Amino acid sequence: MKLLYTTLITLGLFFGSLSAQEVSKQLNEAGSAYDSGNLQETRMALQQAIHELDMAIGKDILDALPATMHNMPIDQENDNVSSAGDIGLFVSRRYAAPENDHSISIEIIGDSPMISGVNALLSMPVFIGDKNQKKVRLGSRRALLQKNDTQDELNSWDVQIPMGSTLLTLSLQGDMDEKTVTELAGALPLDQIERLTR
Amino acid sequence: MIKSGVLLIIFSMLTVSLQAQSRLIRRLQKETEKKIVNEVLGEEEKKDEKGRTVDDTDDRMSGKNRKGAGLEADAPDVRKSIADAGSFYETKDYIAAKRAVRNALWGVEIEIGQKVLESLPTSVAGLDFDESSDEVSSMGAGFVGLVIGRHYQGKDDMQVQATIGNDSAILGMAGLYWHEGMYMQSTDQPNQKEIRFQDNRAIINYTDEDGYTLSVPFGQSSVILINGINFENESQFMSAANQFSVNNIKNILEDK
Repeated sequence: MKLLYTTLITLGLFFGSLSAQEVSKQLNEAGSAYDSGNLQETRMALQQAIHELDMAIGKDILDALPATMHNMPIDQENDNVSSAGDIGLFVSRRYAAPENDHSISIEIIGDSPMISGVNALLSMPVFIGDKNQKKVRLGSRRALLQKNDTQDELNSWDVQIPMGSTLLTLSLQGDMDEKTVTELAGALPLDQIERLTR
Repeated sequence: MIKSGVLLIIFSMLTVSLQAQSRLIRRLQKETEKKIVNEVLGEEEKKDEKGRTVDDTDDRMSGKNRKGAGLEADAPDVRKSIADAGSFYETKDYIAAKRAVRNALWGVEIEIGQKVLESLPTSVAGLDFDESSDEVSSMGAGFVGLVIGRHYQGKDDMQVQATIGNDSAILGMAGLYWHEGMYMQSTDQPNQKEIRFQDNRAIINYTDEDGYTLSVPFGQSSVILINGINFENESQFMSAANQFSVNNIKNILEDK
Protein backbone atom coordinates (compact mmCIF):
# COMPACT_ATOMS: atom_id res chain seq x y z
CA MET A 1 0.00 0.00 0.00
CA LYS A 2 2.84 2.32 0.96
CA LEU A 3 4.53 1.51 -2.34
CA LEU A 4 1.32 2.33 -4.21
CA TYR A 5 1.01 5.77 -2.55
CA THR A 6 4.70 6.50 -3.21
CA THR A 7 4.28 5.56 -6.87
CA LEU A 8 1.15 7.70 -7.24
CA ILE A 9 2.79 10.74 -5.61
CA THR A 10 5.90 10.33 -7.78
CA LEU A 11 3.77 10.04 -10.92
CA GLY A 12 1.71 13.08 -9.86
CA LEU A 13 4.85 15.16 -9.33
CA PHE A 14 6.28 13.92 -12.63
CA PHE A 15 3.19 14.85 -14.65
CA GLY A 16 2.78 18.11 -12.73
CA SER A 17 6.31 19.21 -13.58
CA LEU A 18 5.91 17.88 -17.13
CA SER A 19 2.89 20.12 -17.64
CA ALA A 20 4.72 23.10 -16.08
CA GLN A 21 7.65 22.48 -18.41
CA GLU A 22 5.27 22.23 -21.36
CA VAL A 23 3.73 25.68 -20.81
CA SER A 24 7.12 27.33 -20.25
CA LYS A 25 8.53 25.45 -23.25
CA GLN A 26 5.67 26.57 -25.50
CA LEU A 27 6.04 30.19 -24.34
CA ASN A 28 9.81 30.07 -24.97
CA GLU A 29 9.22 28.56 -28.41
CA ALA A 30 6.64 31.23 -29.18
CA GLY A 31 9.04 33.99 -28.12
CA SER A 32 11.92 32.60 -30.21
CA ALA A 33 9.74 32.00 -33.26
CA TYR A 34 8.34 35.53 -33.01
CA ASP A 35 11.83 37.02 -32.72
CA SER A 36 12.86 35.15 -35.87
CA GLY A 37 9.78 36.40 -37.71
CA ASN A 38 8.08 33.01 -37.97
CA LEU A 39 4.50 34.00 -37.26
CA GLN A 40 2.89 30.61 -37.97
CA GLU A 41 5.31 28.85 -35.61
CA THR A 42 4.53 31.48 -32.96
CA ARG A 43 0.85 30.98 -33.47
CA MET A 44 1.05 27.20 -33.06
CA ALA A 45 3.18 27.46 -29.92
CA LEU A 46 0.74 29.95 -28.38
CA GLN A 47 -2.24 27.75 -29.24
CA GLN A 48 -0.47 24.83 -27.58
CA ALA A 49 0.27 26.98 -24.52
CA ILE A 50 -3.45 27.82 -24.23
CA HIS A 51 -4.21 24.10 -24.36
CA GLU A 52 -1.72 23.37 -21.55
CA LEU A 53 -3.09 26.25 -19.47
CA ASP A 54 -6.63 24.95 -19.95
CA MET A 55 -5.51 21.59 -18.61
CA ALA A 56 -4.03 23.29 -15.52
CA ILE A 57 -7.20 25.35 -15.01
CA GLY A 58 -9.33 22.21 -15.40
CA LYS A 59 -7.29 20.47 -12.73
CA ASP A 60 -7.86 23.42 -10.37
CA ILE A 61 -11.60 23.19 -11.02
CA LEU A 62 -11.62 19.47 -10.22
CA ASP A 63 -9.71 20.23 -7.00
CA ALA A 64 -12.35 22.82 -6.07
CA LEU A 65 -15.29 20.41 -6.47
CA PRO A 66 -16.51 18.57 -3.34
CA ALA A 67 -15.04 15.18 -2.46
CA THR A 68 -18.53 13.71 -2.02
CA MET A 69 -22.01 14.69 -3.11
CA HIS A 70 -25.16 13.30 -1.51
CA ASN A 71 -22.90 10.80 0.26
CA MET A 72 -21.55 9.53 -3.05
CA PRO A 73 -17.78 9.32 -3.66
CA ILE A 74 -15.98 10.51 -6.76
CA ASP A 75 -15.90 8.03 -9.62
CA GLN A 76 -12.18 8.68 -10.27
CA GLU A 77 -12.16 6.99 -13.66
CA ASN A 78 -14.58 9.58 -14.99
CA ASP A 79 -12.66 12.68 -13.93
CA ASN A 80 -11.93 14.40 -17.20
CA VAL A 81 -10.29 17.62 -18.36
CA SER A 82 -9.95 18.37 -22.02
CA SER A 83 -9.32 21.36 -24.18
CA ALA A 84 -10.09 21.09 -27.87
CA GLY A 85 -7.23 23.25 -29.09
CA ASP A 86 -8.25 26.77 -28.27
CA ILE A 87 -11.98 26.25 -28.66
CA GLY A 88 -12.57 25.91 -24.97
CA LEU A 89 -12.30 23.96 -21.80
CA PHE A 90 -14.32 20.90 -20.84
CA VAL A 91 -14.27 19.50 -17.30
CA SER A 92 -16.38 16.63 -16.04
CA ARG A 93 -16.72 14.69 -12.81
CA ARG A 94 -19.05 11.91 -11.71
CA TYR A 95 -20.12 10.86 -8.24
CA ALA A 96 -21.66 7.41 -8.06
CA ALA A 97 -23.14 4.88 -5.68
CA PRO A 98 -22.88 1.63 -7.66
CA GLU A 99 -25.04 -0.28 -5.17
CA ASN A 100 -28.22 1.64 -6.07
CA ASP A 101 -27.49 3.24 -9.49
CA HIS A 102 -27.58 6.72 -7.99
CA SER A 103 -25.22 9.19 -9.59
CA ILE A 104 -24.43 12.88 -9.98
CA SER A 105 -22.46 14.25 -12.93
CA ILE A 106 -20.98 17.69 -13.33
CA GLU A 107 -19.99 19.05 -16.74
CA ILE A 108 -18.36 22.44 -17.14
CA ILE A 109 -17.93 23.87 -20.63
CA GLY A 110 -15.96 27.07 -21.09
CA ASP A 111 -17.09 29.31 -23.96
CA SER A 112 -20.15 27.11 -24.34
CA PRO A 113 -22.18 27.65 -27.52
CA MET A 114 -25.32 26.70 -25.54
CA ILE A 115 -24.98 29.58 -23.10
CA SER A 116 -27.10 32.06 -25.06
CA GLY A 117 -29.99 29.56 -25.29
CA VAL A 118 -30.02 28.95 -21.54
CA ASN A 119 -29.72 32.67 -20.79
CA ALA A 120 -32.60 33.41 -23.17
CA LEU A 121 -34.79 30.90 -21.34
CA LEU A 122 -33.80 32.31 -17.97
CA SER A 123 -34.66 35.85 -19.04
CA MET A 124 -38.25 34.86 -19.91
CA PRO A 125 -40.73 35.86 -17.19
CA VAL A 126 -42.60 32.53 -17.36
CA PHE A 127 -42.13 29.23 -19.12
CA ILE A 128 -45.06 28.12 -21.20
CA GLY A 129 -45.70 24.55 -22.25
CA ASP A 130 -43.09 22.60 -20.31
CA LYS A 131 -44.21 21.69 -16.81
CA ASN A 132 -40.95 19.88 -16.12
CA GLN A 133 -38.82 22.97 -16.56
CA LYS A 134 -38.49 25.92 -14.20
CA LYS A 135 -36.16 28.67 -13.08
CA VAL A 136 -34.56 28.34 -9.68
CA ARG A 137 -32.35 30.64 -7.66
CA LEU A 138 -29.02 29.45 -6.33
CA GLY A 139 -27.96 32.28 -4.06
CA SER A 140 -27.63 35.27 -6.38
CA ARG A 141 -27.62 33.11 -9.51
CA ARG A 142 -30.43 31.89 -11.72
CA ALA A 143 -30.45 28.35 -13.03
CA LEU A 144 -32.61 26.20 -15.25
CA LEU A 145 -34.03 23.09 -13.55
CA GLN A 146 -35.34 20.25 -15.68
CA LYS A 147 -37.05 17.09 -14.44
CA ASN A 148 -36.51 14.28 -16.92
CA ASP A 149 -38.87 11.41 -17.69
CA THR A 150 -37.48 8.07 -16.56
CA GLN A 151 -38.45 4.44 -17.14
CA ASP A 152 -37.63 3.31 -13.61
CA GLU A 153 -38.40 4.64 -10.14
CA LEU A 154 -35.34 6.84 -9.96
CA ASN A 155 -35.72 10.57 -10.43
CA SER A 156 -33.62 12.28 -13.03
CA TRP A 157 -32.80 15.99 -12.95
CA ASP A 158 -30.67 18.45 -14.90
CA VAL A 159 -29.62 21.83 -13.58
CA GLN A 160 -27.99 24.24 -16.02
CA ILE A 161 -26.13 27.15 -14.46
CA PRO A 162 -24.71 29.83 -16.77
CA MET A 163 -21.69 31.69 -15.43
CA GLY A 164 -20.41 34.29 -17.88
CA SER A 165 -19.49 32.32 -20.98
CA THR A 166 -19.26 29.07 -19.01
CA LEU A 167 -22.08 26.59 -18.61
CA LEU A 168 -22.18 24.18 -15.67
CA THR A 169 -24.60 21.28 -16.03
CA LEU A 170 -25.42 19.13 -13.04
CA SER A 171 -27.17 15.84 -13.86
CA LEU A 172 -28.64 13.87 -10.99
CA GLN A 173 -30.15 10.43 -10.89
CA GLY A 174 -31.57 8.90 -7.71
CA ASP A 175 -34.08 9.51 -4.94
CA MET A 176 -33.49 13.27 -4.85
CA ASP A 177 -36.45 15.64 -4.73
CA GLU A 178 -36.43 19.20 -6.06
CA LYS A 179 -35.34 20.72 -2.75
CA THR A 180 -32.38 18.35 -2.45
CA VAL A 181 -31.38 19.01 -6.05
CA THR A 182 -31.34 22.81 -5.64
CA GLU A 183 -29.46 22.49 -2.33
CA LEU A 184 -26.82 20.29 -3.95
CA ALA A 185 -26.47 22.70 -6.88
CA GLY A 186 -26.30 25.70 -4.54
CA ALA A 187 -23.57 24.06 -2.47
CA LEU A 188 -21.19 23.87 -5.44
CA PRO A 189 -18.29 26.39 -5.36
CA LEU A 190 -19.83 28.36 -8.22
CA ASP A 191 -17.99 31.64 -7.53
CA GLN A 192 -14.65 29.84 -7.54
CA ILE A 193 -15.47 27.95 -10.74
CA GLU A 194 -16.54 31.15 -12.44
CA ARG A 195 -13.31 32.83 -11.37
CA LEU A 196 -11.29 29.93 -12.78
CA THR A 197 -13.08 29.93 -16.13
CA ARG A 198 -13.36 33.68 -16.66
CA MET B 1 -25.15 19.70 -39.62
CA ILE B 2 -21.87 20.26 -41.49
CA LYS B 3 -23.77 21.79 -44.36
CA SER B 4 -25.54 24.14 -41.95
CA GLY B 5 -22.18 25.10 -40.41
CA VAL B 6 -20.67 25.94 -43.77
CA LEU B 7 -23.72 27.90 -44.88
CA LEU B 8 -23.77 29.71 -41.54
CA ILE B 9 -20.15 30.88 -41.76
CA ILE B 10 -20.49 31.87 -45.40
CA PHE B 11 -23.74 33.70 -44.66
CA SER B 12 -22.26 35.52 -41.66
CA MET B 13 -19.21 36.62 -43.65
CA LEU B 14 -21.39 37.87 -46.48
CA THR B 15 -23.69 39.65 -44.06
CA VAL B 16 -20.79 41.52 -42.49
CA SER B 17 -19.45 42.61 -45.87
CA LEU B 18 -22.86 43.57 -47.19
CA GLN B 19 -23.64 45.58 -44.09
CA ALA B 20 -20.40 47.51 -44.55
CA GLN B 21 -21.22 48.11 -48.19
CA SER B 22 -24.74 49.35 -47.50
CA ARG B 23 -23.44 51.69 -44.79
CA LEU B 24 -20.99 53.15 -47.27
CA ILE B 25 -23.66 53.53 -49.96
CA ARG B 26 -26.04 55.24 -47.52
CA ARG B 27 -23.31 57.67 -46.49
CA LEU B 28 -22.41 58.47 -50.11
CA GLN B 29 -26.08 58.99 -50.93
CA LYS B 30 -26.53 61.35 -47.97
CA GLU B 31 -23.44 63.37 -48.88
CA THR B 32 -24.52 63.64 -52.52
CA GLU B 33 -28.03 64.77 -51.58
CA LYS B 34 -26.59 67.41 -49.28
CA LYS B 35 -24.29 68.74 -52.00
CA ILE B 36 -27.16 68.92 -54.52
CA VAL B 37 -29.39 70.84 -52.07
CA ASN B 38 -26.57 73.27 -51.32
CA GLU B 39 -25.95 73.85 -55.02
CA VAL B 40 -29.65 74.42 -55.79
CA LEU B 41 -30.04 76.86 -52.88
CA GLY B 42 -26.73 78.53 -53.66
CA GLU B 43 -25.36 77.85 -50.21
CA GLU B 44 -21.73 77.10 -49.58
CA GLU B 45 -20.63 74.51 -47.10
CA LYS B 46 -19.24 75.95 -43.88
CA LYS B 47 -15.81 74.63 -43.07
CA ASP B 48 -13.88 74.65 -39.84
CA GLU B 49 -10.18 75.52 -39.53
CA LYS B 50 -9.22 71.98 -40.63
CA GLY B 51 -11.44 72.11 -43.69
CA ARG B 52 -14.11 69.81 -42.24
CA THR B 53 -17.77 70.54 -42.94
CA VAL B 54 -19.50 72.27 -40.03
CA ASP B 55 -23.23 71.66 -39.49
CA ASP B 56 -25.73 74.39 -38.71
CA THR B 57 -26.68 75.38 -35.18
CA ASP B 58 -29.92 73.36 -35.36
CA ASP B 59 -27.93 70.21 -36.15
CA ARG B 60 -25.52 71.00 -33.34
CA MET B 61 -28.39 71.00 -30.88
CA SER B 62 -29.75 67.69 -32.16
CA GLY B 63 -27.79 65.65 -29.65
CA LYS B 64 -26.04 63.70 -32.41
CA ASN B 65 -22.31 63.15 -32.21
CA ARG B 66 -20.50 65.46 -34.66
CA LYS B 67 -16.87 64.88 -33.72
CA GLY B 68 -14.47 62.11 -32.89
CA ALA B 69 -11.78 60.24 -34.78
CA GLY B 70 -13.01 56.84 -33.64
CA LEU B 71 -10.90 54.38 -31.73
CA GLU B 72 -7.17 54.19 -32.25
CA ALA B 73 -5.80 50.97 -33.69
CA ASP B 74 -4.45 49.05 -30.73
CA ALA B 75 -2.49 45.95 -31.66
CA PRO B 76 -1.27 43.95 -28.68
CA ASP B 77 2.44 43.89 -27.88
CA VAL B 78 3.24 40.24 -28.60
CA ARG B 79 6.62 40.09 -26.82
CA LYS B 80 5.25 41.76 -23.69
CA SER B 81 2.19 39.49 -23.67
CA ILE B 82 4.37 36.37 -23.91
CA ALA B 83 6.59 37.65 -21.10
CA ASP B 84 3.51 38.51 -18.98
CA ALA B 85 2.10 35.02 -19.60
CA GLY B 86 5.34 33.47 -18.33
CA SER B 87 5.28 35.61 -15.17
CA PHE B 88 1.62 34.86 -14.44
CA TYR B 89 2.25 31.18 -15.03
CA GLU B 90 5.14 31.17 -12.55
CA THR B 91 2.78 32.54 -9.88
CA LYS B 92 0.16 29.91 -10.85
CA ASP B 93 -2.30 32.56 -11.99
CA TYR B 94 -3.44 30.44 -14.93
CA ILE B 95 -6.39 32.67 -15.83
CA ALA B 96 -4.18 35.76 -16.21
CA ALA B 97 -1.58 33.66 -18.06
CA LYS B 98 -4.22 32.41 -20.49
CA ARG B 99 -5.48 35.96 -21.04
CA ALA B 100 -1.93 37.11 -21.81
CA VAL B 101 -1.36 34.19 -24.23
CA ARG B 102 -4.64 34.96 -25.99
CA ASN B 103 -3.56 38.57 -26.25
CA ALA B 104 -0.26 37.48 -27.82
CA LEU B 105 -2.11 35.14 -30.18
CA TRP B 106 -4.42 37.96 -31.17
CA GLY B 107 -1.41 40.17 -31.93
CA VAL B 108 0.25 37.46 -34.03
CA GLU B 109 -2.94 36.79 -35.98
CA ILE B 110 -3.36 40.49 -36.67
CA GLU B 111 0.21 40.54 -38.07
CA ILE B 112 -0.49 37.49 -40.23
CA GLY B 113 -3.65 39.19 -41.48
CA GLN B 114 -1.71 42.34 -42.34
CA LYS B 115 0.77 40.26 -44.36
CA VAL B 116 -2.10 38.71 -46.30
CA LEU B 117 -3.57 42.16 -46.95
CA GLU B 118 -0.19 43.36 -48.25
CA SER B 119 -0.18 40.45 -50.73
CA LEU B 120 -3.63 41.24 -52.13
CA PRO B 121 -3.90 43.33 -55.31
CA THR B 122 -4.47 47.04 -54.81
CA SER B 123 -6.65 47.19 -57.89
CA VAL B 124 -9.04 44.61 -59.33
CA ALA B 125 -10.91 44.98 -62.62
CA GLY B 126 -10.13 48.70 -62.58
CA LEU B 127 -11.51 49.08 -59.05
CA ASP B 128 -9.19 50.49 -56.39
CA PHE B 129 -9.08 49.11 -52.88
CA ASP B 130 -10.54 51.19 -50.09
CA GLU B 131 -7.81 51.28 -47.45
CA SER B 132 -10.18 52.40 -44.72
CA SER B 133 -12.26 49.25 -45.15
CA ASP B 134 -9.30 46.84 -44.89
CA GLU B 135 -10.18 44.49 -42.08
CA VAL B 136 -8.28 41.97 -39.97
CA SER B 137 -10.15 40.47 -37.08
CA SER B 138 -9.25 37.69 -34.73
CA MET B 139 -10.91 36.44 -31.59
CA GLY B 140 -7.63 35.01 -30.33
CA ALA B 141 -9.53 31.72 -30.30
CA GLY B 142 -9.95 29.08 -32.94
CA PHE B 143 -13.71 28.75 -33.08
CA VAL B 144 -13.98 31.85 -35.21
CA GLY B 145 -10.33 32.17 -36.26
CA LEU B 146 -8.82 34.88 -38.36
CA VAL B 147 -10.91 36.93 -40.82
CA ILE B 148 -9.29 39.22 -43.37
CA GLY B 149 -11.30 41.51 -45.64
CA ARG B 150 -10.61 43.98 -48.43
CA HIS B 151 -13.08 46.07 -50.42
CA TYR B 152 -12.66 47.44 -53.95
CA GLN B 153 -14.79 50.12 -55.58
CA GLY B 154 -14.63 53.10 -57.89
CA LYS B 155 -15.82 52.32 -61.42
CA ASP B 156 -19.52 52.86 -62.07
CA ASP B 157 -21.37 50.95 -59.42
CA MET B 158 -19.14 47.87 -59.46
CA GLN B 159 -17.69 46.52 -56.24
CA VAL B 160 -15.55 43.59 -55.16
CA GLN B 161 -15.23 42.27 -51.63
CA ALA B 162 -12.58 39.67 -50.78
CA THR B 163 -12.86 37.87 -47.44
CA ILE B 164 -10.39 35.27 -46.22
CA GLY B 165 -11.07 33.06 -43.22
CA ASN B 166 -8.34 31.00 -41.61
CA ASP B 167 -7.89 28.54 -38.76
CA SER B 168 -11.50 28.30 -37.76
CA ALA B 169 -13.08 25.14 -36.42
CA ILE B 170 -16.13 25.81 -38.54
CA LEU B 171 -14.04 26.23 -41.68
CA GLY B 172 -12.35 22.95 -40.84
CA MET B 173 -15.74 21.35 -41.15
CA ALA B 174 -16.08 22.97 -44.57
CA GLY B 175 -13.12 20.89 -45.74
CA LEU B 176 -14.83 17.77 -44.45
CA TYR B 177 -17.97 18.83 -46.27
CA TRP B 178 -16.04 18.88 -49.53
CA HIS B 179 -14.17 15.68 -49.00
CA GLU B 180 -17.32 13.79 -48.06
CA GLY B 181 -18.83 14.81 -51.38
CA MET B 182 -21.85 16.30 -49.68
CA TYR B 183 -21.82 19.26 -51.99
CA MET B 184 -22.53 16.99 -54.94
CA GLN B 185 -25.82 16.02 -53.38
CA SER B 186 -27.10 19.56 -53.33
CA THR B 187 -26.17 20.92 -56.73
CA ASP B 188 -29.71 21.23 -57.94
CA GLN B 189 -29.69 25.00 -57.83
CA PRO B 190 -29.30 26.65 -61.24
CA ASN B 191 -27.52 29.70 -59.78
CA GLN B 192 -24.80 27.68 -58.13
CA LYS B 193 -22.16 25.43 -59.60
CA GLU B 194 -18.87 23.75 -58.80
CA ILE B 195 -15.83 24.92 -60.72
CA ARG B 196 -12.02 24.66 -60.61
CA PHE B 197 -10.33 27.84 -59.53
CA GLN B 198 -6.51 27.96 -59.70
CA ASP B 199 -6.35 24.18 -59.11
CA ASN B 200 -8.81 24.33 -56.22
CA ARG B 201 -12.37 23.14 -56.06
CA ALA B 202 -14.69 26.10 -55.72
CA ILE B 203 -18.34 27.08 -55.79
CA ILE B 204 -19.65 30.04 -57.69
CA ASN B 205 -23.15 31.32 -57.21
CA TYR B 206 -25.22 34.22 -58.42
CA THR B 207 -28.20 36.02 -56.94
CA ASP B 208 -29.85 39.23 -58.13
CA GLU B 209 -29.36 40.76 -54.69
CA ASP B 210 -25.70 39.87 -54.05
CA GLY B 211 -24.27 39.40 -57.53
CA TYR B 212 -21.53 36.80 -58.02
CA THR B 213 -19.89 35.01 -55.10
CA LEU B 214 -16.97 32.63 -55.41
CA SER B 215 -16.08 30.41 -52.44
CA VAL B 216 -12.74 28.62 -52.48
CA PRO B 217 -11.95 26.44 -49.44
CA PHE B 218 -8.26 25.54 -49.21
CA GLY B 219 -5.79 23.91 -46.88
CA GLN B 220 -7.12 22.43 -43.68
CA SER B 221 -9.20 25.30 -42.40
CA SER B 222 -9.21 28.25 -44.78
CA VAL B 223 -11.53 29.78 -47.31
CA ILE B 224 -11.50 32.77 -49.63
CA LEU B 225 -14.78 34.38 -50.61
CA ILE B 226 -14.87 36.84 -53.49
CA ASN B 227 -18.06 38.77 -54.03
CA GLY B 228 -18.60 40.89 -57.15
CA ILE B 229 -21.46 43.34 -57.49
CA ASN B 230 -22.77 44.67 -60.81
CA PHE B 231 -20.49 42.63 -63.05
CA GLU B 232 -21.84 42.11 -66.56
CA ASN B 233 -21.41 38.36 -66.60
CA GLU B 234 -19.62 35.37 -65.08
CA SER B 235 -16.66 35.73 -67.40
CA GLN B 236 -16.05 39.35 -66.38
CA PHE B 237 -16.35 38.41 -62.70
CA MET B 238 -14.01 35.41 -63.03
CA SER B 239 -11.44 37.56 -64.75
CA ALA B 240 -11.51 39.86 -61.70
CA ALA B 241 -11.45 36.91 -59.28
CA ASN B 242 -8.37 35.50 -61.00
CA GLN B 243 -6.39 38.55 -59.95
CA PHE B 244 -6.34 37.03 -56.45
CA SER B 245 -3.71 34.33 -56.05
CA VAL B 246 -4.88 31.52 -53.79
CA ASN B 247 -1.33 30.10 -53.79
CA ASN B 248 0.09 33.36 -52.41
CA ILE B 249 -2.45 33.39 -49.62
CA LYS B 250 -1.83 29.69 -48.92
CA ASN B 251 1.90 30.35 -48.60
CA ILE B 252 1.46 33.24 -46.19
CA LEU B 253 -1.03 31.34 -44.05
CA GLU B 254 1.02 28.13 -44.39
CA ASP B 255 -2.22 26.24 -44.78
CA LYS B 256 -1.65 23.78 -47.61
